Amino acid sequence: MESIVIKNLSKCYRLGKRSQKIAGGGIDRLRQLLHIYNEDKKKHLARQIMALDNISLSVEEGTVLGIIGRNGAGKTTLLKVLARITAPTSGTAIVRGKVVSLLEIGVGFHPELTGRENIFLNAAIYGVDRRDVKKRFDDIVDFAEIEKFIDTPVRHYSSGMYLRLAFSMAINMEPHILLADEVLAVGDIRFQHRCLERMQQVGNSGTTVLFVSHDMEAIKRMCSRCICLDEGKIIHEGNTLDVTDAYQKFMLSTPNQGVVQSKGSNTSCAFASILSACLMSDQNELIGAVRLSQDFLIEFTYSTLKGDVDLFLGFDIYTRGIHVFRSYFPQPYHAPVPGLYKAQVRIPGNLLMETEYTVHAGGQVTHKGDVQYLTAYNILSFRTYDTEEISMPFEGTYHKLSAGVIRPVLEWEVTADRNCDNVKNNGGE
Amino acid sequence: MSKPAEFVIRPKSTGIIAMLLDLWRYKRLVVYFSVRTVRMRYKETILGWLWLIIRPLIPALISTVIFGKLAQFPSDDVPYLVFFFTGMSLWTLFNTALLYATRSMRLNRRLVTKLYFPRIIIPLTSIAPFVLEFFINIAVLIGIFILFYVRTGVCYVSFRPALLLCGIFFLATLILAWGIGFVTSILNAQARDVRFTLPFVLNMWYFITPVIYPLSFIPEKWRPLAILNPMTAIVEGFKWSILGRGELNIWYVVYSLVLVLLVFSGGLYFFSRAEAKFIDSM
Repeated sequence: MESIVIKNLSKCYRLGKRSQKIAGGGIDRLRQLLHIYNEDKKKHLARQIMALDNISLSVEEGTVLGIIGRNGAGKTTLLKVLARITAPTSGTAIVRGKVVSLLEIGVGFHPELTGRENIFLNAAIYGVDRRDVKKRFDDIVDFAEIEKFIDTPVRHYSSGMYLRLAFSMAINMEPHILLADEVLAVGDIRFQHRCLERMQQVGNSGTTVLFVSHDMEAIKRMCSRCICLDEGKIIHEGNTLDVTDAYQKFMLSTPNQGVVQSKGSNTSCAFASILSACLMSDQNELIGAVRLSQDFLIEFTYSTLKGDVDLFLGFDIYTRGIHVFRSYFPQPYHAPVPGLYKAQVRIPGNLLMETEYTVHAGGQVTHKGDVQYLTAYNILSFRTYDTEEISMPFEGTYHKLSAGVIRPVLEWEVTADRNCDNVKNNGGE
Repeated sequence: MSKPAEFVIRPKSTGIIAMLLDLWRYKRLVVYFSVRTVRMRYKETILGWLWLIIRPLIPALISTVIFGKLAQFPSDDVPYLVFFFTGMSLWTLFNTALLYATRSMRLNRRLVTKLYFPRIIIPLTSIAPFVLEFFINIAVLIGIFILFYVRTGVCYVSFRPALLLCGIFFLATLILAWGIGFVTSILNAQARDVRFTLPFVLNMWYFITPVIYPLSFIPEKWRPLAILNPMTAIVEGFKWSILGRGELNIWYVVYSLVLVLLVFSGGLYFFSRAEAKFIDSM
């Protein structure tokens, strides 16, 4: 039997000004009356995005379905609609049985309450009976490995303990449908493995799991079926290996370009502004993602508004909130006339990890001794793929992910130490 | 595993009945959230519970000096402190409950945007600390009665069956605060204007409600106008049931109670309609 049947589901968000349809559009009318915001209104109407665009899908009971796709593809929105957090704009979805969602870690926890109290509070939020929780209490605590801290307020918990308790709660609520959104990324490797195992287990026992992840390895290991979303549509569906392969090809070939959109931030000053950034292969072609073994370029476009401006710009690169490195022009560049300027930086292959990186551009511009600063946060984000699978020969618990923020290929030389040999021999005599 | 129940997710809201059934299913959460809001309000205060007693006493004493002693407001032939404190207890309940119900959705933004549970629980339970504070105010009031009894030998509480009616006025106050709060909590989630406007409105409302003066203070011909305010008959009735002074027009009370129920059902209806949509604009 299908446990989820989605028919022509769409979800439309309005960007910029908030949706004012509540109270029958009364607030809109009030505004018109007062002549506020009227000028911008047309612009707002135009700025709608289809987070989900006419999706149809059915999921058999007990399936572990992987959901992949770029940022903003609609993965989280799909889970939010299925979890009844937000209503769809059109279409229907039938869900059979108790739905437990894990969209953010520990969101239902109250920091002042102890682990024990939070288990009961959370269960109540999930709509689970107190008696049922009591029955499963030991399982929850065991799986989360927090026996010692069960009567400690959770604000003293480490992020790992938080995650373990949250995950253990969700999975022990015996959901018919479990919705998990990239929640395992913060846990330690050993726990990630136990979670994945456990999710597979509950899948085998009839729970339907929808699992959003950027971690292709986890998806491949866990899921028998997989869908790939892009711009709110399902672009691939079927066997996990086929879908992940198609997705990687798609990511590598679709140009990845970040354009500065918000005018309000510090992306421009009186002398210059940062316009965009894009990812290029070493043959100067636009690419969408990076093959780890190859060199690649990031190209930044700036405009100067005055003559004789000295640009001293660069970028910072982050992953999982960690600052990986910063690189700047070796010396300020003198832009004699106002116009567009491009700067390319080459990043060598075999330096980064297989993960997702975010780029912040910025720097200082000087005009006649007057210094001003520019910053463009999140101007570009991109994924890297280890298509040759050269790097980590380890299987099992020594998993590829979470093994650092860069993974340079370094030269190693391993030899037998003669002196050491001698010492040993001498000692033997 | 129990037999799975089917649920159909649609663009339209499921309606009031479904919302209330859902609320019943999550009744335990109402208890948990109530306890949680109470705890949150008093954590990290040094005086803690002492605040509960100090806070109502200070404005009561100030008002007694200004309105009772200096301005010589009438007070239904009971000491002004007793008169004022009785009405103020109920008004404070209304005032704070409505203010916090309005803010509640924004305060719990993270929760409502990441988890599903009947959202109405949020404004419903946000008033829990103020119900607690109301009962403490009543305890303080009883203390004041005892003090006056010991000092002057007069008991200002009128012990008669009608004393029990004060419970109805208490409930009416809660229901009115909820009814308005259901609407304002959602509006406030959309535009913060509500939060800035509401204290002004409540300030005005305070002065047109007979808290610092008795209803009899208002000239006869203006009284029907004063009674349009549903809180007038509620506060007046509350004081009447406890102090047993003056006359209470039963029709005023009936009008108020009907209006309160209308506002409550209207608020409930609005909430059930808007529930599914307002999340997107948070």
